[in-house]
Amino acid sequence: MYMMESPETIRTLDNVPLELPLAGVASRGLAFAIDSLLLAVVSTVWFLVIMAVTGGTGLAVGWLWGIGLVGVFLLQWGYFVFFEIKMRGGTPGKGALKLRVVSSQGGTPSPSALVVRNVLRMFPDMFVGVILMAVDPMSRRAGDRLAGTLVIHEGGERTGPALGKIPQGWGGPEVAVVEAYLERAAILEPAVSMELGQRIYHWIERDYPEMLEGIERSGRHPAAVLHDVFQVERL
Amino acid sequence: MEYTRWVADRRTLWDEVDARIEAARARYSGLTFDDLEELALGYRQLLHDAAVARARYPGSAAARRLERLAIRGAYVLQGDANPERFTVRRFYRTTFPAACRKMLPHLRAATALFLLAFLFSGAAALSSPELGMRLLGAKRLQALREGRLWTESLLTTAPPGAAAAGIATNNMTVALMAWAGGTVAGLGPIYALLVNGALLGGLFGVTYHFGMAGALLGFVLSHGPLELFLVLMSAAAGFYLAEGLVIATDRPRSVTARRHALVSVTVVVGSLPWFLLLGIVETFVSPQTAVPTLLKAGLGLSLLATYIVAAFTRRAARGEIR
Repeated sequence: MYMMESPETIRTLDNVPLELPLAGVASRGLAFAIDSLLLAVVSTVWFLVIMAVTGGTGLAVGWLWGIGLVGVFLLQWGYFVFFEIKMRGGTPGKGALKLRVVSSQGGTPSPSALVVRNVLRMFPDMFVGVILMAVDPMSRRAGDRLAGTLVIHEGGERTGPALGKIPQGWGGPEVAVVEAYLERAAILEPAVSMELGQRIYHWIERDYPEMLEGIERSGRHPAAVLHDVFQVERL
Repeated sequence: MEYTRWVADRRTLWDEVDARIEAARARYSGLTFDDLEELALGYRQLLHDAAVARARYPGSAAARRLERLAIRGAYVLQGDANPERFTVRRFYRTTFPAACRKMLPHLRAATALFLLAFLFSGAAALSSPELGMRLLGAKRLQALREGRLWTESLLTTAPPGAAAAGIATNNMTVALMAWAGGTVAGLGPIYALLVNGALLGGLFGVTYHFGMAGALLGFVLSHGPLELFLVLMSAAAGFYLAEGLVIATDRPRSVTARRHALVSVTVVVGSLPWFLLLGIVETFVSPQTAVPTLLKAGLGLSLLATYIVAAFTRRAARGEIR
């Protein structure tokens, strides 16, 4: 079957296509805000420590201020590089939002690539990064383009409800509809959840009545009934 | 093939690969060859299943789980990083010189542009001292009128350690920004070269007017040669970055640009520690009038020679940058 490939589709071993769950401007911006906040706190603490230690005067104090300045420089330019190398594409902010930097093929980016994307964070991305991300179908800023990196979502449930029993002849679309409903039934608005559940239930009742044999139905939410009908398990 | 039977048949493999991927992510450095081989074999089977699920059961729980696992597995197995462990020694012995050697044509262009700005500004300041004086500002001009260089303030206005760090971090920022400015079609390094060349030329022109050019030369001799060379190298790296973005080749621009960015950033990052050394020299040696000019010149040229040997030595021409 021919399938249209979106820009975030990568080709893995044996030419198998994979669709990367790319992070957009909003989630990346939020991760950046968390990191910036943390950076500001660490820088402030660093300065307070230097100020506390350099209570006196003299040559030694001058060196401590020097160390303080170099420390601020390293924090400013090295925070993202350090964490993205040490946390393999993550930072505390990205970790909080379950984001990760990957190579354009979904692999681990090289340290050089992480340095490139983070030096370019200061220029030109400080000025045009958001615009570039907004207009790029893969949400890349200049640093990502030149480093060959992408930022993806790593979150989401590790497992979802999978049907353990289905009617004869069911294919992908039928399975996907029921599994999608069962996964969301608890978080949908109660009325919507009830209505969708009843529609699936009536469909089964009409076309596959044998599936309902022996299933307790009275007074139960359709999602619970369907759960038993399809012998759902976590996959 | 029925969905539920297929899932039942294959899920043991998926669980196994899932566990292997998670274990690998938790301890990359502890992976043995056998671990990787088994993971790669399982991953290949998993990719096959992902392709089946994508084609026959799109949107199903199995398809989504397989896609997620395949993405996690790709992250573990398709690393861009050099398989050799990074060490500072290896970086400065192979990677850094290999990158620096690629900058030579761009270094020539950067030097020519800098000299142009230097000579033009110097000539302008010599022929019209008022023009050059505008470069200095009131305080520096006052110092010159009193027959001394403004650089003496390096010893009096801030503790030497802080001054050294201030100079070094400022220069490192300039170098990084000159490189990053290469993304704007090379305008960043051009700006850095013109400003630095014009400033230095203007300063020499004005100090010559006040009969203090020799004193200025004495001040810059110990740190100036290498500092200027590092500015030229940063600008050359910026040009190299710009070349990857602007010049059309027979390879896709995205590939060329990425390659040029990775090589040129190596030059700038590898040069940063030298700025720290120069900050110390500029603060503790350069302003000392007691240090003989010849000794300062010797120090300045030795620093430059050491950097050039470290950056361009031929033994590292095969160093790989990834």
